[in-house]
Amino acid sequence: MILLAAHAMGTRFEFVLCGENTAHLRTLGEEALREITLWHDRLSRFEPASDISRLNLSAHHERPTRIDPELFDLLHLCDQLHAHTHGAFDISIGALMQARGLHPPATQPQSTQRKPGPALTLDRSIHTVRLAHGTSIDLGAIAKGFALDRAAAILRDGGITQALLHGGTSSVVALGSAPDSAHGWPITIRSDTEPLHITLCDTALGVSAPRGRSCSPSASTAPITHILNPLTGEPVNHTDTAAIIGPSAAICDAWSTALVVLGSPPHNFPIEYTSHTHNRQVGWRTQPLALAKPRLCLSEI
Amino acid sequence: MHPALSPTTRRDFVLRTAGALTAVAILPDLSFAAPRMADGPVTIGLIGAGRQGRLIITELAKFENVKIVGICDTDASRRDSGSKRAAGAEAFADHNAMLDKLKDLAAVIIATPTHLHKQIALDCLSAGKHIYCEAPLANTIEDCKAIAAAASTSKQIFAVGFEGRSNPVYKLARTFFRSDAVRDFVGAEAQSFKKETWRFPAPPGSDSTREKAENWRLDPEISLGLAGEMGAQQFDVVHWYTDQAPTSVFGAGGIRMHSDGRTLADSIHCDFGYDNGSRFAYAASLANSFGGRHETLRGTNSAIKLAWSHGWLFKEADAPTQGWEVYANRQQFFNDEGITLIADATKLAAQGNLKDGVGLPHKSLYYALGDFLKSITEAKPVACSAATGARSTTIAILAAKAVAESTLITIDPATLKF
Repeated sequence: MILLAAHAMGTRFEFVLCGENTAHLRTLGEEALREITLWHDRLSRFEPASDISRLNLSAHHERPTRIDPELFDLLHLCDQLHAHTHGAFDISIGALMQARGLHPPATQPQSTQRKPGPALTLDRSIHTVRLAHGTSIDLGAIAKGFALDRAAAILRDGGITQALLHGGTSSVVALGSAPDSAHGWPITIRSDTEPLHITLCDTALGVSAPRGRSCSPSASTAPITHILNPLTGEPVNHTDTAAIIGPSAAICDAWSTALVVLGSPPHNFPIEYTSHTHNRQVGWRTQPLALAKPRLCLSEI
Repeated sequence: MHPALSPTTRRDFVLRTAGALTAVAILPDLSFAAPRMADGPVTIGLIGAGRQGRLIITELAKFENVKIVGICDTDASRRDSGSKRAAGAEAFADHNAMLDKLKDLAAVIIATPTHLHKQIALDCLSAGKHIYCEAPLANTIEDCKAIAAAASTSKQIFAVGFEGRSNPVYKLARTFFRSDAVRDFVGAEAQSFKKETWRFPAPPGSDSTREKAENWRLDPEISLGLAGEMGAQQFDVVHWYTDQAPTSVFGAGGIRMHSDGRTLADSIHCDFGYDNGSRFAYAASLANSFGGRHETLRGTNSAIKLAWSHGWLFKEADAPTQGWEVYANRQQFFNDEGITLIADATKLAAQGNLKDGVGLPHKSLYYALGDFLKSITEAKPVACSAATGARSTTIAILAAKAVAESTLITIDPATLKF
């Protein structure tokens, strides 16, 4: 078993890889970490040379900005998730985050008001994107999970069957089971009151919690949480923790943020996913209930 | 005084800048304009769809009117993923098959392992294609000579991917280096530190031959090691700035961390000597990451530190003050304060957005590819010709040899003539 780590996306990514050939594990693990740093370089809004920084600077122009198919597919997924979450997951929230003091201030004034209409206009035929005036992209609610999905695919393709990958402990992918467990990787999720104990096996987890980070926009104002409701522009705090389990870490990440905003899963919550939401009044709620028990390893079914 | 600047040149620079001391407008405007392509898309074939090939696909996608129509790689999985990333590109296992079938191909980009460059470059030149070849140009001096000779008799454009020469921050910093702002060259240091094995996974079920091919960087028979694969770009920057060639190189290295059967050093040190007594020290390691990758060039008035996306000027206390410094963006490095070198500063300052210019908006690779496209479409001179690339690569080859033999090599100036 080996542990590899890298700093990316403002946090620490850790991979625990199990197997007998440690040289093989390290080679594959480094390749997977390179994938994480590659997507950090491309998706971070704080890296001047990232694709997202470029879009935030240039994609408001009359002419749409051309992007490569991989980034296009990610933005298309984000667009779909925006629709499925009824606007609760919204990557065009960057300017709003900046205006509320949750991101470093831009040199140019940021507007919280944008014109009606879609924030993103994607054209698959020519792989272009255009942003509505007054918006900027922030992939903070999906980038870690997206990068972990890509890293996990490299490990799976390389033949690794037992691994736990996480980015900042809020985005997780589990391959197989922990060496000392037949059921998976035991995980504890904190909340304001009681913790939730789950077991992950060949699945992903995304956790969002407003308490994770807060900031004071000015010396005279109270701290606000780092999750904003894109529909109102206000910080949210009626759900203290949302944890989503399902096949894709990117989708788990996006839905966990959306459920902090929405409070509970909507009718169209994807059936392959399980949600755990917590607030002080009612404690943990799990939907759908049939999946509340620890998941079995695929190998045991 | 800088050896590359005649007194007249330097006086001209000082006079030009002195007239504008109260404005940041003295900062050269080195913004990168995308190439103009009025005659339809430039069709490109990419040879080598590994990690560097993937980066090239991503950067090329940013240019209007550029189309990757062919992807070539001997490995099926890389070929497939490459053709998916470059939507619509046809996949080939052999570069000659691509050249045969895609007759209208305007240019090729060679991103294969270094030791494979020569034959591919010669084949593509024979086929009449413009070429962008990744640096280092080759792994032997003989191959460098063969490529440079073939390119010199060809009418096609041949560019070598020494990226510093296209990087706007590096170009801007070079104007300072060649002025009184830095004044007389003292010496240089550079480093490339990253903790990793430098091993790459072969597809599951691969035999040892496939595994060895995947890890060509660790094969001392064909690889230039850290001096070539990491150092060559940085050596080129220092020699492009100073306009001088080393007369000697000492090298040493060892395995400090990765005792996994490799024989190629995972940590190296090189020391270049020059006729005028100045020296350039280089260190690279796969056992530690601190400080990452950067170059520092010292002059009697100031030092310049370059880190690919960023650059800074550190002034001596007794260096003359220039008016524009009042407006400059600064960054603290422990006890030293660096003036941030910002490409396109004039325009940004006029807009009140100077801070927006800190850090390049693209990777160096983007600007190098952009310069190559401009050479094709606008007949602009190449940023790094085959001859220049061969010279810089030869310096790296000699450094790699010095490291492998742990010795001091005297460099005959004739060796560096192409």
